[in-house]
Amino acid sequence: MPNNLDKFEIKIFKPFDSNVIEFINLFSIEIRKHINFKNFPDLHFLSLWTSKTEIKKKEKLILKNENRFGRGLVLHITPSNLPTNFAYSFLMGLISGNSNIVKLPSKEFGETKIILSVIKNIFNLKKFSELKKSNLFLKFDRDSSILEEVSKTCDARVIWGGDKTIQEIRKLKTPERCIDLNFSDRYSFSVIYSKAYFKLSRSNKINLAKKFFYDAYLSDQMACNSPHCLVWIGKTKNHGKIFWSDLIEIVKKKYSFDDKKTIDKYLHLFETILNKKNLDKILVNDNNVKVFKLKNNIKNIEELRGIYGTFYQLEFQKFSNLRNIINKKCQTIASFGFNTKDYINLITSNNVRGLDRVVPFGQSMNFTMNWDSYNLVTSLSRVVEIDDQI
Amino acid sequence: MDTLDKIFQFKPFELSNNQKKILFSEKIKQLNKYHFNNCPEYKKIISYLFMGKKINFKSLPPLPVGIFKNNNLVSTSKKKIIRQLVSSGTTGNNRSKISIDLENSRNQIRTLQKISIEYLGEDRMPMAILGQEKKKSNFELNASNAAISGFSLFGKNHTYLIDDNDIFNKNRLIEFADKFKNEKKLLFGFTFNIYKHLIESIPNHKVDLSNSILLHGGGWKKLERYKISNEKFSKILKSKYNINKIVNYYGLVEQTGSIYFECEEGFFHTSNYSDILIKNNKLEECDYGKKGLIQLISLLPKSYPGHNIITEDIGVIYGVDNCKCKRNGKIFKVFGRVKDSETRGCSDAQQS
Repeated sequence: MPNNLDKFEIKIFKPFDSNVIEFINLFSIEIRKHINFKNFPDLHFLSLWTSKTEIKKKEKLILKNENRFGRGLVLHITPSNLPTNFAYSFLMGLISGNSNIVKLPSKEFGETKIILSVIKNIFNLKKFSELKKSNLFLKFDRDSSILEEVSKTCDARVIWGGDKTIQEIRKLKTPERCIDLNFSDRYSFSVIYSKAYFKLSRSNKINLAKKFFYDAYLSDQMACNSPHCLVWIGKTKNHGKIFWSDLIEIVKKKYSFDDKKTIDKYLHLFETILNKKNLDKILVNDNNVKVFKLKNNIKNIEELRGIYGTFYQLEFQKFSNLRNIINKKCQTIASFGFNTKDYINLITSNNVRGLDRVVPFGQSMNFTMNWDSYNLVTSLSRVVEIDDQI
Repeated sequence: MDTLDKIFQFKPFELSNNQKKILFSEKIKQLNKYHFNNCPEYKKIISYLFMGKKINFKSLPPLPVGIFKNNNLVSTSKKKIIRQLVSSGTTGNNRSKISIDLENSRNQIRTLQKISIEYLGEDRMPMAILGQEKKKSNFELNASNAAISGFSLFGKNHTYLIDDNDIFNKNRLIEFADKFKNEKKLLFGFTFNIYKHLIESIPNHKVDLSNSILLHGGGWKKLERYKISNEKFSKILKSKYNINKIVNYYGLVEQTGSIYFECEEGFFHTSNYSDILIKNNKLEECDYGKKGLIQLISLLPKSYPGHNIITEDIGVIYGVDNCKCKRNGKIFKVFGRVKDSETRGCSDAQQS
């Protein structure tokens, strides 16, 4: 056990505790002030998410007349390969009123370093000394005893990972009443109503491609919520021609390929051609953007995943055709040109069993309090019945 | 006469770039067509990439080296396969599987021999091998054993320095040094093994291996952790063992035979049987002097489509037919494997 685990104390708060909100507010301000803030779009999302107005909005989603408290100690097992996910997971644990032990990404990310240094500085302020004692960020690997030890005593675990990872971690002993929130491997895609797209001005078309860029390239298409497929709805021809060429220009400006990404993307292209079914022709074969057109009778679309800007394109005549590709693996749809009603209709009239979120373009990476159909705050807290008569 | 036989009539570094070009591109075109017609997977990929366009067999895109890991690509009938070469695959990744038929195997040995002579001379030397003796030959052969069996053809009185219990036997090395004291000797091993056994394990023991050539290569992925430069590596070996000539080689298990030796000037050379290109992050060809991904072309692979491969190694070409060592060919250096990207993703929480 590392030394800092010995000094760890479990503190329990009510959700949206005023001291916690003050901490988060300060965090949002400080992270924006960081000298390298502008270099990391991920941090921009994080600072927005932690802003006062956003937190207030989240607070409204909790019932006021309950005696709600944090569960106690939450263990966060977060992805090695995502730079900011650990922060969201931690903040949700904290907002819910818990003490937290957070596994940090194993890879060195600039974003991760900045977040940790900001948290450390704020924790050193006297008024946050309680939080400092009750929250811990650690780097450890899969066979670490820390995982086993903390699992034995924690009250909840938030587990991010592939199906296999989750199964492995679930094998570790936990107290009987400990709950696990599992965020397993998911699939996301984007939808454009082509009629609405062609009505857009030149600059708005570019804007839409830019938003798509953020959805897909910020996480190299490796987050569960980044899109792999773009579905065009409507009868127009030459779907995507303008869109993809706009995207190429954006990628050229905003994204950099290193040797590893280049060779991995090239290999992915060859493996896809060789081993994937339902491919129609290749629409775009540019190093920045690759797009395969898919045949319409596609099944198991979640098996077609892109990497570093490799996409699949589907063309459906009707919006209701989406039902064919939404299954239980489906998490996020980034949508343009359709409204809330369209999606409610789609779900009810087609008995759609998958799908967790529908967001506008550019918002795929936004973390929300409801994630993979869990309400994180209510899940990570408990209600104590205290009778008025006592 | 087959183009390859025509090329075999010349010494491996004899042809100038202009002389080589005609024969080489003719053979590549033949190979492209051959693999297209005989390897269904190769045909599938190339046809897909050229969909709607005429396929230009003079120049086809290289296969990424990783494709041999998950797929068994064969350009001959399965019955003809006599051996499967597998890469050493030390890091738990899938290993490459390369199917070799008799013709391919013969050409590999023939080429290896022709190139080796240019660096090691024609005489067979007493040879110590930092490896285990393999008593029987298996259908599956890993890269290190393939290299040992390939290179052992150039030696005699073979001494295997790793015993049956997988332990380095220092005494065998001392005996070897004593027995062939006055003869020209050949030492062979993987770079990492040479480091582990000859540099790390016997730090205070001096063995006199003067009058010998050390041939080493591969396995430097493991060596990278130790951060030892090529210069320091050679310096230690020269001072500890009096080894006077150290020759590094570079090659792919996917292109066994058309190997690259480091010349006296410190450069690898392409031979009549091979070519190299450097590609940037847009996969465009780099100018000489620029660092990038190494693409290797070899005239030998026929039973599998490994004639044109883009690797995961980084290198620089410094020129063509311009080396002071007088050998022709493009001269280049290799700077190791591509560095891992900050690959992102939420599907592997446990990996570290």
